[in-house]
Amino acid sequence: MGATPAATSSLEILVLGELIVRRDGRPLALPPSRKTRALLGYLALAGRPQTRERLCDLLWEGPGDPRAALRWSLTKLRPLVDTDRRRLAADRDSVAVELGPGELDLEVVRALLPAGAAKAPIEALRRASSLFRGELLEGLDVADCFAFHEWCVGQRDGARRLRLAVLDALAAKLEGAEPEEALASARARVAVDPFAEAGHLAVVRLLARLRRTREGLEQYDAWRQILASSSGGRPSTEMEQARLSLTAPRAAPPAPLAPSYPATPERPAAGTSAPPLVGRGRERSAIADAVAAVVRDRRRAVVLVVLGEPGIGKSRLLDEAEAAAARAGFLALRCRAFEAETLRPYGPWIDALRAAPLAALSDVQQAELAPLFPELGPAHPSTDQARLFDGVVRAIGSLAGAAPVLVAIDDVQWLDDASAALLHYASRALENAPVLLACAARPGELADNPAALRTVRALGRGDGAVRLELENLREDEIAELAGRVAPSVDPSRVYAESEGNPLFALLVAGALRGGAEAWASLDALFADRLAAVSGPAREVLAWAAALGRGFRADLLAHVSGVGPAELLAALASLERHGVVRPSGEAAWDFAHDLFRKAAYGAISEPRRKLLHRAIARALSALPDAGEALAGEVARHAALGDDADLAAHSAIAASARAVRLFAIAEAKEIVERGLRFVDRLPAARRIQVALPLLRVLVDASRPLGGDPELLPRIRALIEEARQQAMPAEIAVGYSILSHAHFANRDLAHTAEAADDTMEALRGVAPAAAASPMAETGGCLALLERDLARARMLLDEARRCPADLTRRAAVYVEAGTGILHDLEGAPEKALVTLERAARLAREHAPWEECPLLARLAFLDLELGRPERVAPRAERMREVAPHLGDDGAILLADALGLVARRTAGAPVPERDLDAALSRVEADAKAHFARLACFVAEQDLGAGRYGPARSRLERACAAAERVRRPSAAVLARALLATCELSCGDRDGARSHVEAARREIEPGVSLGRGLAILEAVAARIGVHATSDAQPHPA
Amino acid sequence: MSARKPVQVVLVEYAMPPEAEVEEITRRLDRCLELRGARWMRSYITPDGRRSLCEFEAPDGESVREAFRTAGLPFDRAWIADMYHREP
Repeated sequence: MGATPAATSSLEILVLGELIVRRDGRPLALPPSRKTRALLGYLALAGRPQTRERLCDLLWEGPGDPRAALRWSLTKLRPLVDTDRRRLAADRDSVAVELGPGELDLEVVRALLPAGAAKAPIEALRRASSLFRGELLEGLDVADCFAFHEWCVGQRDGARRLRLAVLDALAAKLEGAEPEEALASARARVAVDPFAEAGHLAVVRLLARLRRTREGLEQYDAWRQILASSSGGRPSTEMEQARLSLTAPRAAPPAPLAPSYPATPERPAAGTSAPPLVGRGRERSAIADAVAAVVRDRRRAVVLVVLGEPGIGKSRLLDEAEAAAARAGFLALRCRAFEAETLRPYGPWIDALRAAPLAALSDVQQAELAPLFPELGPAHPSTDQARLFDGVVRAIGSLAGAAPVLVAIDDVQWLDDASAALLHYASRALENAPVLLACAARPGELADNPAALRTVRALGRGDGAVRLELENLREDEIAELAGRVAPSVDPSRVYAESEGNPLFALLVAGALRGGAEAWASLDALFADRLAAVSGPAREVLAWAAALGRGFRADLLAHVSGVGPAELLAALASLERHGVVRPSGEAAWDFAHDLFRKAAYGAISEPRRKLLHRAIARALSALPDAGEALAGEVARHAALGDDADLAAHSAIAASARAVRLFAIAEAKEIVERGLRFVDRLPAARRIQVALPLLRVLVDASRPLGGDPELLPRIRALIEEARQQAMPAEIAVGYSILSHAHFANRDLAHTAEAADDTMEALRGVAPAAAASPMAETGGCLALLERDLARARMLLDEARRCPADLTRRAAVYVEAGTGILHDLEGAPEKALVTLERAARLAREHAPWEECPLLARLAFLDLELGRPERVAPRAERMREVAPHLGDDGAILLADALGLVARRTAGAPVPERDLDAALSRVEADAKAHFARLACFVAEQDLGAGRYGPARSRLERACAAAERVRRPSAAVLARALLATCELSCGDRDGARSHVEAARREIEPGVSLGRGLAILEAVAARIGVHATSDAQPHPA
Repeated sequence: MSARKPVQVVLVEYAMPPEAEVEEITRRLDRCLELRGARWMRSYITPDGRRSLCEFEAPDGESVREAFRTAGLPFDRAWIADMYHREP
């Protein structure tokens, strides 16, 4: 560590690197919650009061109780910063960390350069340079807080520019007098920003001045390689001239290695790939007991919860559980959560179950798991989250029937919400199965993940739960551990430095064995270990760290472009250094997440962007890059600042999350995608934003819709209109229709569906024709909005070539019904006959209803002899279509036709047949009962007529068919008038009037109503404008 | 068995549509049902997901059949039934 920012201050907050808080020069333990540390960093840098609302939005967006989370974090910060005086000022509305002069390292740097770096004296520049330890707030990325991430990226950018200015000024000022020191500054500049030619150029020029030709050529080659792998450009003329000045008198041999890698010789490290297990006697016997209990009982699950800080040995104990379970014949399903993957629904479960013999499961079980594993075939159609959970539980239960099962999940503090919910469910649902459920988590970081925290608490409370809270190892245990990997080192030094943390102890022992004397911090030991890696392995390390999870060799080769042989050699080297370890067939992972963190921290921010961007593009180019990879593509594209790919891949990723019922994740993925959408050109923005909103609509369905989506969709439609994008307007209306439907707003659903059709007609008339026919036919059948039905059907009829066959049936059927309603029975007959013929071939299920309607017309037109063949055809067809109702109706029609033709039909038989239709098909009953009652009226049988008409009226009103209701009322009025009850007749006319909407034609019923109304001297319709029949 | 007046329901047996069409057809069916004053109550689906028996609350059987036809979802049988159930 270099100069102290303020020797006199008792408290220092250092942000120019990993966050450090020091009191009297000694670092203090920081809260384990990353969000709490992020909050401190933010408040320290903000320097003025921040509203609580702003802080909640920044770090605790989403469900839960953000204000409570903020309060909790503040209680952790107060003891840290309020030491000698009060610095944390918090009231009801706002919070501030008030720092004095010299208490924040970034302020110290600024104070050293009052007139800018270029005008600062050399001493001030040296001191400023020494205060930069790495990226600002190194490692404090909070995966699920986009607002904080944005802020952090901006701040880092500013700090990086300041650092570059300091290094540039230093190199320039020292170039003449102290070229070696100038070279160190120039090299540091290259490390901070390897993608700027100015830095490389300065190094080459300084090396030429120092006559170090070979190193100069290496630097030149390094720059050329960077150009080739990023932009594909060539070095500038200035750089070429600098290279010539290097080689002018004496040529040097070409460099074997890219020089930006430190040329440290490779050395074997203390092996962390299979670290020894020392101590932990109590925990080991608890594991052995748990395994034995599952084997012995076979009807009881055991839950093992392992808690402890990073490096304390949780994963090592899970290894131990896996080994013990394997010895006892268990099937082991092992997985871990990754910090980078909190939006990958069920990611750890998918990883774990991949190791299971899924092919051995029954077809039904495979169908239940298919949403997680598309390769298992089509998913069960009625799948919902409960079914998916049951599917996983049943699969594990079924596997446990053959052999006990171990499900071991590491790093539970990073579980996605969906996985956490499934874990909770599985722990309860499997409690009577021979299953050992082992989980490990960092308790300090659980606070940042409420879903995981709830699950871990619930798991720990269960009956069969064993909770193992790992403490630091004792001095004798650390001595034993150190002795195993480095017998020659001083065990008391290892204990003192590691404070009993076994992972740190292994690192300390390795460092001491390698001859190290001192190191800045325990974290620096990770960096030291990584610094020992050189050559291609170092390059591979950067790619692996950027991937953010365990990786398969072929995938790493694909994204990094490193050849397979070279890659395997690099992985072998990383394994020897104990940095990575095999985690399955041709798969590796970092030996500990702290290595991943250190390796990632060593990559400069601009290079990270390039790596993520390259990974995103490589992943999206994979031949099988389906929905499952879309989430990873979206994440890397976002980190790589590739707006188009980030937004576009969010569509598939969020749609997959919806299909997996991970609604919260889906929404978050969409919102992240939408943040990038604004940076796209207008047309592209609309094309990407529409499907993202469609996913939000789908995600809102299980929750009963989301009215707030409507204005967002409408705004996009408006944008599409301004951009003259008719297809997108149609898509927009279609999404709007879905959104209304999700909100259970049928009126607006239909309206938006119409708008879709209207928009579609402008873009693709062919595509609009069939929906128009179907909607028109449906409206006619329901007797609603008949003017629109007529318009749609006429429109559809104009483009017969574009109609599907089914739609052609609807055009004829709908038009025939309209003729019928308009009181044109002959025209109706012709059209409906045509519809029935078409239906027989292309829409068989429509034939019976059409035959019934034709039979009604036959009866009403006085041609009862035509009914029998139609009824016969109905009886013939209906059984094949499962239409039992059509058979009942055919029977009743047959009886009525015979009665009409003068054949004797017992009233009892007729009543029974009509009653059966009344229960099954009320609209048909109403029409048929009216016809029979009309005959009764003609014969002066007023009693039976009234009774049938009243039932017809009730039936028609029940199914809301105004034509039958008006007919029944008109006949009832006629009946009452014939019986001398003028008031009764008037009340029926008035009731019928209420059924009639202005401008609606209702065929025969209206004609009869007008006649009876005239007899009692009232108007038939409320507007006194009877519709022309 | 309950001594009270039984509730009348409509039962429909049908084969599940292809997975890719389920969502669109369900949406159409829901709308067609609602327009006819009918609503879905519950379904029984075979474990292989191929066959289904659904119960609807509707004014009559034809309303449900009409909704299925209009939604383009063929059915094997549809009939009205009185529902009896064990008293809690």
